[in-house]
Amino acid sequence: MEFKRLSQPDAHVSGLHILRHASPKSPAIHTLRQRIWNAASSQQVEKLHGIHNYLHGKAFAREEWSTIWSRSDETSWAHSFGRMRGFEEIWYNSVTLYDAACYDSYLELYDIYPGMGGLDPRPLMELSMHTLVNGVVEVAEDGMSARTSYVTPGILYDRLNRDMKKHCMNFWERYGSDFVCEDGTWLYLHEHVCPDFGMPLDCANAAADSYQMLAHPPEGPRPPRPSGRKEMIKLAEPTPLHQMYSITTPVQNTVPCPEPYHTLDNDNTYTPFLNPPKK
Amino acid sequence: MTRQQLTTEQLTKRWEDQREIKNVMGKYTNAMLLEEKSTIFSRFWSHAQEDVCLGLNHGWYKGAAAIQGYYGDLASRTGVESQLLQSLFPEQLGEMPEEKLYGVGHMDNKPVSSPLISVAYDGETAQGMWTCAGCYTVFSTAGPSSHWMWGYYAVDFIREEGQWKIWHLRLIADIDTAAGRDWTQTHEPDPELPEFAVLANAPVSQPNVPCVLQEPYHFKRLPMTLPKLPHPYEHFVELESYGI
Repeated sequence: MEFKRLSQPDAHVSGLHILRHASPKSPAIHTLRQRIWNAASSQQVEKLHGIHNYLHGKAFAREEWSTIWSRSDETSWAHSFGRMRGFEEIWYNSVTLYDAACYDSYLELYDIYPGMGGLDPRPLMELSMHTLVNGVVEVAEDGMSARTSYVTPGILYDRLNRDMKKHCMNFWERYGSDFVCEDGTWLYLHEHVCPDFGMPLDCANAAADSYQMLAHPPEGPRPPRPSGRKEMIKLAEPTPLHQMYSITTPVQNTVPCPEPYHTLDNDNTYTPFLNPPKK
Repeated sequence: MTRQQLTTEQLTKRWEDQREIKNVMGKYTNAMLLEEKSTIFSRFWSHAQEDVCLGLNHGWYKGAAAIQGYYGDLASRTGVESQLLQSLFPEQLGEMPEEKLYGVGHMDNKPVSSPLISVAYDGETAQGMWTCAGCYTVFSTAGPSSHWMWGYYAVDFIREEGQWKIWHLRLIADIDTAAGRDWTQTHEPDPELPEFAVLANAPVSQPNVPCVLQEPYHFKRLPMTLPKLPHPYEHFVELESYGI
């Protein structure tokens, strides 16, 4: 499958083979140039996070995944429900199926809101506003990778969800991300999204509600959950990786803050490598 | 001294210092989220300065002993709360080992954002301010409750043995309210729950310099004032400290 990268020259990448043109020499040399390279790289990966946020907020999946992500087999994207591995799997789930959900939403909405005719259907599905706070950023001593952790307090808003209701919720997550420098360009390699809690906006109290639900469970059958998008049918690791908050959820350190490190490897990564780099 | 007078090396060092300070604060708030409160002082605070202080809305913890006592009390109370939850929910938590049980049901998430940092031209100290849009879980004799906390951090840092350490820290809540309620309105206290009565015996130490640094929002409150924002400076003596 060919994936056309928007606004970027085609770059051949195989695994983690990096073509170095504008990068510092390795092994790490703490020259002034190395330090300035790392400083500039730190800013660049923060910028990539910001680009992700803006594009994801508008449901512009194609624009995001085709411009700021590595095409490596090691590329991964993980959430509470599991981990996708390899660019092809991620593209299918995060672009193809995501776009399909956007078009499904459009087909349900246009009768109610005819004025949306001619507009890009994708941002009309959902606003996923994930801010970025509490950033911890480390660039490797070898200058060829970076790692970040963030807290992301956010809002999710649907004008009409699949049950034909307005839907708005607080949604807080944590991010752990690894980046690589390929041909002098910084790109996402791994991202691990850890949703901590989500609750309806302005009318819920997560701790109190969770306690009441467990201590005094309602009688009778539970109401059906609102229908969601199509299930992702291709998931390399469909294992729960993080739990949402409840009064019985233990403390989770799923994406620890990065510490200073020499190079990206299985001792310093948010996703274990399929083919670990040779030491 | 101005930035134009600095060498490339000095400019690079100042950038690195700012990045390290951001990382220190990110790790500090993350340690609070991970319920590592018993290690907070040793990991993040200055051990060399006698005038370390922690300022909250209701006063100052002045000196290392007071600050350590505060974090220690928070950590102890977390243990009591965790064991209480285990006793209330044996089906879910009964078999959970103590290490994993510690902190269950907690979400103390007060992250830093909108950084404004000034590193002294002498490279020995720094000041930083951050906004905080946070949330935390309160366990009281009325049971558990999620709270929103919006406010700011104002922090003096000092370099010790090549690392940036917290010297004076203020965490001031401008809004501190239970989630799911209109925070412009006053609310009746939640009713006491007998199963949480034991928490009355696990107090947290009060500030040893009590005062009102800032009232949380209520509609009759006067507008909040901020400390002076960080600005360029050469030596710390020129500054108004964020401490007491």
